[in-house]
Amino acid sequence: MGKSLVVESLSAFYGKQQILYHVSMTMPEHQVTTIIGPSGAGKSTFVRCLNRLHETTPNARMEGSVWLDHQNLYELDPIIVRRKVGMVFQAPNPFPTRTVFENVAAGLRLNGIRNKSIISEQVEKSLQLSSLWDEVKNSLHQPVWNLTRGQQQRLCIARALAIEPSVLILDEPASTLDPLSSLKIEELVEELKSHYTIVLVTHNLQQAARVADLTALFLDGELVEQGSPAELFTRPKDKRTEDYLTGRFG
Amino acid sequence: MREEQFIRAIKRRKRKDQWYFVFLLFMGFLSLFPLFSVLYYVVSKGWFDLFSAGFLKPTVGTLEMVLIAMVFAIPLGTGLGLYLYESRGTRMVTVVRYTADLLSGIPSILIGMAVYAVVVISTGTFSLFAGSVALATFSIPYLGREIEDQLIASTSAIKEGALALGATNTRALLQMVMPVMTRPLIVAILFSMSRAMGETAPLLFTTLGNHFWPIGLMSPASTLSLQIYFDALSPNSFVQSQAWTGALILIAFIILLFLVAKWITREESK
Ligand SMILES: Nc1ncnc2c1ncn2[C@@H]1O[C@H](COP(=O)(O)OP(=O)(O)OP(=O)(O)O)[C@@H](O)[C@H]1O
Ligand SMILES: [Mg+2]
Repeated sequence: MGKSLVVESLSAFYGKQQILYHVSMTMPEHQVTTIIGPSGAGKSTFVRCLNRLHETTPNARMEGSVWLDHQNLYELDPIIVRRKVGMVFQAPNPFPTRTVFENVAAGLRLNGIRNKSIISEQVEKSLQLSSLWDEVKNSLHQPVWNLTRGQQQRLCIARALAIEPSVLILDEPASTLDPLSSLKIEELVEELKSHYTIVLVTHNLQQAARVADLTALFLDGELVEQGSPAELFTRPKDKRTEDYLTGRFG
Repeated sequence: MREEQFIRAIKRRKRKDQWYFVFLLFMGFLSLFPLFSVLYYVVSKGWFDLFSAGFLKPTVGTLEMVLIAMVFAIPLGTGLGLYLYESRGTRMVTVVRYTADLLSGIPSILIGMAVYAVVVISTGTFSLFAGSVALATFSIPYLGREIEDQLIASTSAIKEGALALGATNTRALLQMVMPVMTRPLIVAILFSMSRAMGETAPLLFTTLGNHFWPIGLMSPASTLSLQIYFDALSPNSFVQSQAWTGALILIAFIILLFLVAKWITREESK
């Protein structure tokens, strides 16, 4: 079940170059936090710090702390962190040599679960949750390239859900999809928030406003403003937010 | 009036297009010409002798030497590629990568001389094995760089996908990334085999050539490329003609390797 994620003074670096500057924010449980901002603002870097994927890039480094349910994620084993904080990437990245079923089961198997009935139960449940089950239930053992890109992306969501994380990060999950698939993902996010804490990076401001309980704007590696979308979009406190929203930025 | 101009413009463009097409066709034939002339010569001059027993020995020698070279090159090249990919960003990798590029691009006769100094002198004999070492020496960096490029180009997203599910680095690499790499890996191996097959210069210093059976691992041996080289230099015109047959067999093997590689990559894009 979802738990809130608290970030304290997070700074991130690639080599000597600083990308994020002392970001502090809370992503409350069972809510959707959307992260917006121009390209290069550091949104992806930020969310990759949350599941410690950032540190797998050569020369990448971060400072500060991230708390999940009073546990400092930076004191845990990164492998454990990634089981608690799931991630879906910008472009669908299913494992191309695996079947639909095996893609969803991959996380379970990688984490040492062998019991067949547990695995197939969990696969079905995750595909139900990502509302893909009806479309693939007759082709579970087919190769993944038979799926459309939109289906592949929902498969990646199912894959992330199968290991029952507390937090689900989606980094621009719909930006390479057609509008209909994009809408499906958006609906999915709304449904999933009752089970998970959701962090959604998006370029689409309308989408951010529609699905968010909380929105945060990043500019040049800084968290400029955060608040409910109603406030942030209609009564921005920061001049830079207003400039960004009215298109005077990037 | 306007419409007439328009139609004339279209006609002009069409004519231009046709000329351009003829030009392309011509360039295409021009670039294919050397290939076909080589094929024509090799086949027409070489086929007489094709089934004479004299070619069995160099053929076996070539295959044996290339296969032994691959026994070294495949695991070491794969290891090198994984190392380059996994440790990218460190200064050591930059040095190793540079060295690998240098080694795979260096004139192969120099590699032959180096292997002569190391293997031939220390084992006290020219040998098929020394030839394999020479072939492996440039196949390893070639395979390593190919594998690194493939890993970077096509599998970073897959690896991150696995890491994000809580896979250890090793498991992500071995269970999720390597299966995707199988085909590119096989193709890279086929290409390096075809290059190794044709190499002659490094073998002069290491394998020497030998006209007698049996083909021992630690004795001088004959290969197709060496046989072509020596036969072509012979004053005897019958022996010279045997060089063509050797060339025919070699070309047949190389075309076969290319066809297999082509077939594998075609399956992939389906
Ligand atoms: N692997 C890397 N090495 C060095 N710099 C990087 C790396 N990845 C990203 N950066 C830099 O970090 C900065 C922030 O990038 P990031 O991907 O976090 O931005 P973003 O807000 O997600 O942008 P987008 O909306 O385009 O996805 C950019 O200036 C980028 O050039
Ligand atoms: Mg991004």
